[in-house]
Amino acid sequence: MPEKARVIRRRISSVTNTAKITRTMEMVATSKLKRAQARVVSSGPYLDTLKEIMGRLAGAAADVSRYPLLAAREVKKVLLWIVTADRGLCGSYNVNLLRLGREIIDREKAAGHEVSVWMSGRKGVVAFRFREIPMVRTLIGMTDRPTFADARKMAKELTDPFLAGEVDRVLIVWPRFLTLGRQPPSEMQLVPIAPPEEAGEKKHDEVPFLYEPSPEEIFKELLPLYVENMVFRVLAESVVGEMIARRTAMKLATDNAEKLVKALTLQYNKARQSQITMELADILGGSEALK
Amino acid sequence: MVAHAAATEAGSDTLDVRVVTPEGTLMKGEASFVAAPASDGEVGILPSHTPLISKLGTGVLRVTPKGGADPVKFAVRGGFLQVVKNHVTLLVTEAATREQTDISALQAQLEETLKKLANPPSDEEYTALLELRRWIEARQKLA
Repeated sequence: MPEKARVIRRRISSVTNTAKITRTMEMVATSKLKRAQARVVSSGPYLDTLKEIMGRLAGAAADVSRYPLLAAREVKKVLLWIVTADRGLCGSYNVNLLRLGREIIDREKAAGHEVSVWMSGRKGVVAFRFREIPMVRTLIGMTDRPTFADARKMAKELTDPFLAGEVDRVLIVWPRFLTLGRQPPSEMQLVPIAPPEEAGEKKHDEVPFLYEPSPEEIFKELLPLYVENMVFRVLAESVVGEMIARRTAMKLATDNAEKLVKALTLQYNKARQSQITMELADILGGSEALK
Repeated sequence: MVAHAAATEAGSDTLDVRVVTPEGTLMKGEASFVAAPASDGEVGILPSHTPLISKLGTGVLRVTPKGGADPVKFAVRGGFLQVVKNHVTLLVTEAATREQTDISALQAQLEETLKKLANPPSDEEYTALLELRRWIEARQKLA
């Protein structure tokens, strides 16, 4: 039996309200995205110059053992930090990050390494709990406006276990920002650091640099700064990735809702007309019977 | 970055200065002189300075703009300075400008720090307190 007009009208109203919500979420995500992207872009000059200086000094790193953050050692235990979002409604954003996380866990276990998982983002925590994958640490409620101070704190928490010998390698899974259209889940080794190579284009007429107080001391201080910057990148790019994913998902939802409203409205009109026809037929039939 | 330096070399009598923090660029412009706090004093950069990479200390950074107007001042806390072919880049870990600083609150902080310095709990605390004192004083000098 075709649905009554009244019922369809209720559905139209419900879908319209849903569209209002998804449209708002799309706009909110867009505005947060702008700010988050600006944060990533403005951290660029610092990181670029940092890498430039590190490249110049890479020769000073000849004796790797003097720089604990560089020293690679036999790997027995790995710390894996996976960054996901606290909220959903962002398409396959969280799913893809968690998939890469699981692949890495499997790979490391297959290599005989013990894996400690740190999970940030409620979605990831819930997903891993459901799959009964143990997590050593969970971080929920991370800010969507990360500051460098936040990054320093997180970097310290990640590198302290490495420096203390409790873990031998720290890996991170996060949505690397390539373009507005591509933020693929990616893997990064935070420590031990692989320093940027000496700039191949070093011009031969370049006068050698003076280093104050000494190249070793500068390099020693650059390394933790590099780690902190990498962590800042991770935090900032994760916010960008999440906002792009949510914006896309909400835009699709809104578009679908609008299509649905159109289709339902047509259905509503048909239903209304057939109802009117039936009522008329009723009335006319009744009046005929009275004649 | 090396290619960039070759393409846009500053004139031989001005410095192309950039002051950057991990969160963004504080200043970009031409200058005639830069004075920066190094770990053991102050380092002054004039055009045609030999290539240098120096560790920064905590103190006041002064950039004298081209044209000789009053220097722009920042309180900086650690980082690095690089000079190459009249391009001066300051990688500052933490910085404050006059507008960002609540000067009135600083005096109270300073007094508290001095009190703690009189009875430091440990060697590391002592060094940290000294640095904190320098950071407070640097911002006070912005006034």
